[in-house]
Parts: sequence; structure tokens; C-alpha cells
Amino acid sequence: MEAKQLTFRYGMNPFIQNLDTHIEKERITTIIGPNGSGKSTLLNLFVNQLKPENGSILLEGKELSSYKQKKLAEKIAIVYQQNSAPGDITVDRLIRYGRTPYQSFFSSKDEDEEQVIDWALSVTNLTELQTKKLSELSGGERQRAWIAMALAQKTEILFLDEPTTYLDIYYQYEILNLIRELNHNFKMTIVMVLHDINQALQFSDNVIIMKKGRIVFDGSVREGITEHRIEEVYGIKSIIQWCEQNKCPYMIPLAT
Amino acid sequence: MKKISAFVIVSVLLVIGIIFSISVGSVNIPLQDIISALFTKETGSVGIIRNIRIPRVVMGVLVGANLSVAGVLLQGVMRNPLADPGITGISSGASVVVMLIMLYFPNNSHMIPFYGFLGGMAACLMIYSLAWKKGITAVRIILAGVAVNAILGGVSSMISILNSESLAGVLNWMNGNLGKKSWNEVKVMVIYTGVGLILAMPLAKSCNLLALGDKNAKSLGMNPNLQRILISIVAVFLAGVSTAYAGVIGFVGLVVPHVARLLMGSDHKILLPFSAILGSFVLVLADTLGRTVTAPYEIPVGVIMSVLGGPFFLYLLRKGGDSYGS
Repeated sequence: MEAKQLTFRYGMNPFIQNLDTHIEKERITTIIGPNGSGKSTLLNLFVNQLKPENGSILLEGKELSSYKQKKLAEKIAIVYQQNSAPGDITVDRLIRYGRTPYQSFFSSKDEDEEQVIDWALSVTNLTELQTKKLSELSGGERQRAWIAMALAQKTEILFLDEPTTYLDIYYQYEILNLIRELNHNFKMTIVMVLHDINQALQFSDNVIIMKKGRIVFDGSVREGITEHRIEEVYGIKSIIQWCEQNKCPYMIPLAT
Repeated sequence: MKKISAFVIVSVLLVIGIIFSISVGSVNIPLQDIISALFTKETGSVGIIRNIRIPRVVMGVLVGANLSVAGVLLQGVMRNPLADPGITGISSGASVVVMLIMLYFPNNSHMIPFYGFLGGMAACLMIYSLAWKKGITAVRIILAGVAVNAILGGVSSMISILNSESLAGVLNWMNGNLGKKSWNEVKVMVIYTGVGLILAMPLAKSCNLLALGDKNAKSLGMNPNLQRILISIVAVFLAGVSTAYAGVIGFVGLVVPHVARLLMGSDHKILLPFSAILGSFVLVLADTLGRTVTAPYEIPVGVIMSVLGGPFFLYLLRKGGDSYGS
């Protein structure tokens, strides 16, 4: 997927102007940046929730806006940060909604349904909870159920908007490990917005760093996140060191 | 299994309610007369049944189903458990237009339900445009509805007072009344109801997806705004045509969907048909109460529903109005 000369405005002032980027296939790309930097806006432009004022977004070489919404739902799936649903919906039923793009007006079952649902349940480790109601689940389990619904859409690309916000650290890492598995085992292209710089370092291949609607850096995560750039974007001093156990750099903010 | 038995129980209750409603009144009529009334054209008590009570009960069944299904659809569309054709002013809109038509074009009675639909649409557009402010929130819809309802209710009172000679019995009709319905009107209503309910059932899927929020509905391939418009039109149609013949009957579309949701859960594929049956039962029961409790005086069914439904509305408000979603 790529964005070309993207412009978007809230009200009068252009918020994102002439933005170019592309999403590498079968990789995990994380969008980071301070509050109000435009990371969620960019994500919403990519998934057709917001319409760009100018420029284009291409999916498989075709203009995003030329896809029918239903066809698009077979290509890209999104997990939002906060979701609400009637509390009596069971996990199984929620995940089945993910098959909606494949159903016609008259039939409410498609050929692959059972197989796909079983797969989505087992990947997200929800097989045992499938008959539970959403209101009976913990926050982390509920988030997994929403991810499972998106997986049931059987798309090549999965977008996640701050998937770990509102979860405690145990569930945060559970979700992030799940996302990594989806990428490694099923070759899914992942695009997500994260707040935590260390999680971005640990779990992504590429990073898009944003500030005030502009892209400050776009490329490999380990090249992108430097002490200098953290200060430039977030205005805080930090040190970045190597963690031997994780085989991954990590960032420590410095008190001033 | 629990859900199937709930269906069976409510259906049986409806049948009992219908028979009871036909047999009680100023003249009590035994069961065998009711059966013979269905197949003969006699006068006397059989005539009462055939030409007065049966049309009235059938009208109650149809209107109850329509208003309840309209309530479920409106609540789905507005994601608000307090939405109902009466509270939002849709019924008042229908009643104003119908009154004007009856005054100035009194000779096309089979088209009257259609005018009710147009009036309801006008009210619905008013509510949406008043409540719209970068999207629609539950509270603003209700506030806009209350305002629209007050204005249109005032207008219809004005029309009825100014024309009290030419519009005999209009006061009764405005309060919601199932009495004095001819077989002709019932037949017209059967057609409108059939069309409305057939259009409503396939919308269950969209209602279910809308309950997941607009963003999720869209990412599952649906066009939330288009579906909202379609669902609203069908809901207004059901409420508008009912108001045209039966007047403003509030709270059916509020109480019935709520009870149905408690019993059957949030799946609209079950909720819509179940609410239709339960709504028929509730309205037939309320009408029978109105006819019998204070006999020989008759309380319009709309008044009964307000007296019983109003407190229920307050109870829902107190509960925080969050039984839909979350």
C-alpha cells in the first residue's frame, strides 16, 4: 500500500500536507509520534474511514476510493482502540460478524465460514471462551475477540489503532506477541499505531515517526529511533541501549 | 431452546388475548359465537363480533406489531434505548399531516396511511437536522425529539380545536384509538403492515452491525449512513401508517422492544419478529383494558399506554439508558 501526496484537513487548516509513504508487504509497520501528531489520522486515511482531500492511497496499485466498501473489507481489516457491542453477544457470534463481507444479501453463511472461524478462535486462543458473552470477558480477552473478528475477514493486511492502550502490561504483551505471530506464521502485513516507543522497537520492522502532521522518519525501526530523534519529536532526553536478552535496543527517558 | 419457548408462550398469550378481547365488552360473547361469526353474516351478537370487535382487535394486532418493530428499528438506528415513534415526534408528525388531509381532502381514505408516512418522514427529518452536530448522539436525539413532539403536538391540538365541528371524534383519535374501524380500513392496514414488516426483517443484519459502532460496521464492508437511512425510512413507514388509522399511541415502541431485549438478547434477527408478536399482545391487552375497566366509559388505548408506559420510561431513564450496547 502506498500514499501519494496525501492532504487532509480538519476544519480550515491543512493538517496533513503532501504526505508520501508506503507500507512494506509482510512486515510490521508501526506509526508513532506525540499526541496530535496525526498518527491515528494517517491510519484512518489508510483504512478509508477518512477521505483525503487531495492525493491518493493505492492498494494493489488501485485507488482506495475506487474499491467498493465490501470488497475493501476482504482486503483490509481494522481493530479499533475502543469498541462497544451489546454485552450479550458471544465471542463466537462476534467473530462470525467478520464473515460479513463474504455473505450475500440472502444467505448468511459462506463456504469457508466454519474453517475460518475455527482458525481465528485458535490463533487468538479463544476456542475455550467461544460460548462466553463479551460482558463476561476481561479487557485483554475482549480485545482478542475483536482481533479475531478482524482475522475472520481473512485479509492480507491488518490495521490496529493503539491495540494495547487500556490494557495492563500482561495483556499488552499478550496482544503484541499475537500480532507478531500473525506476521510470522501467516505472513500478514501489519500496520499499527503504538504509544510505547519500546514496544515499537521490540515488535516492528519499520516505523513511521510523525510530528505535527508530517513524517519525520520512515524506514527501519532501529535506524529511526535514535536519541537525537526522540528529543526532536518528543522533546525529551533519553538514552538508547542494547538489551542482550531481547536482542533488541531499548529506550530509557532521562529525568531532567 | 429458551428462546423458542418464549416465542411459543408469547404467541399463545396473543391468541388468548385476541379471543378474550373479542368476547368481553358491553355484551359478553361466548366462544362458539366467535367461531360462527368468522364464517357467517348474521346480525345480533354475531354481528357485533363480526363488524365491531374483530376489526378492532385485528387493528390492534397490526398496529401493536408495527409500532414495536418501528421502536426496535429506531433504537437500533439511533443506538438509543429511549427512541420510540411517540417520544421522537414521528407519530405527531404523521397525525398533523393526516388531520390536514382529512380536513381538506376527505375522500381518499385508502391513501391516508401513506400521508401518515409522509408526515412521519417530515418529523424524522426535523429531528435529524436538529440533532445533527458532527454526528448524532443519543441525548441530542431525545432532546430534539421532545422539542419536535411538543411543537407538532401543539399544532395538531390547534388544528383539532379550530375545526372541532368538521373533524368529529378527532380528539379521541388523537389520543390513540382502535375503535370504530371498518373492515375496509383493516384490509388497507393489512397491506401496509405486510409491506412494512417484509421490508423490516432483512434489515436485522444491518441493525446487528450498527450495534458494533459505525467504524466497525464500515470496516466490515457496510455503508452505515445508507443503512441508517433505509432503516429509518422503514421505521417511519411502520409508525406513520399506524398513526394514520389509530392515532398517536406512545410507549408501545419503547416498552415492547425493551422487554424483548431482556428476554431474547440483542440479535435483531430474533428481536424483530419477537417484538412484533409481543407488541400485538401488549396493544390488544391495553385496548381490552381500556374498554372494560371503566365500562361503560371507554379509555382510548393511547391513554392506557401513556399511563402504563410513562413510568416505564422514567425507570429506563433512571437506569441510565445504557441497556443498549456497552
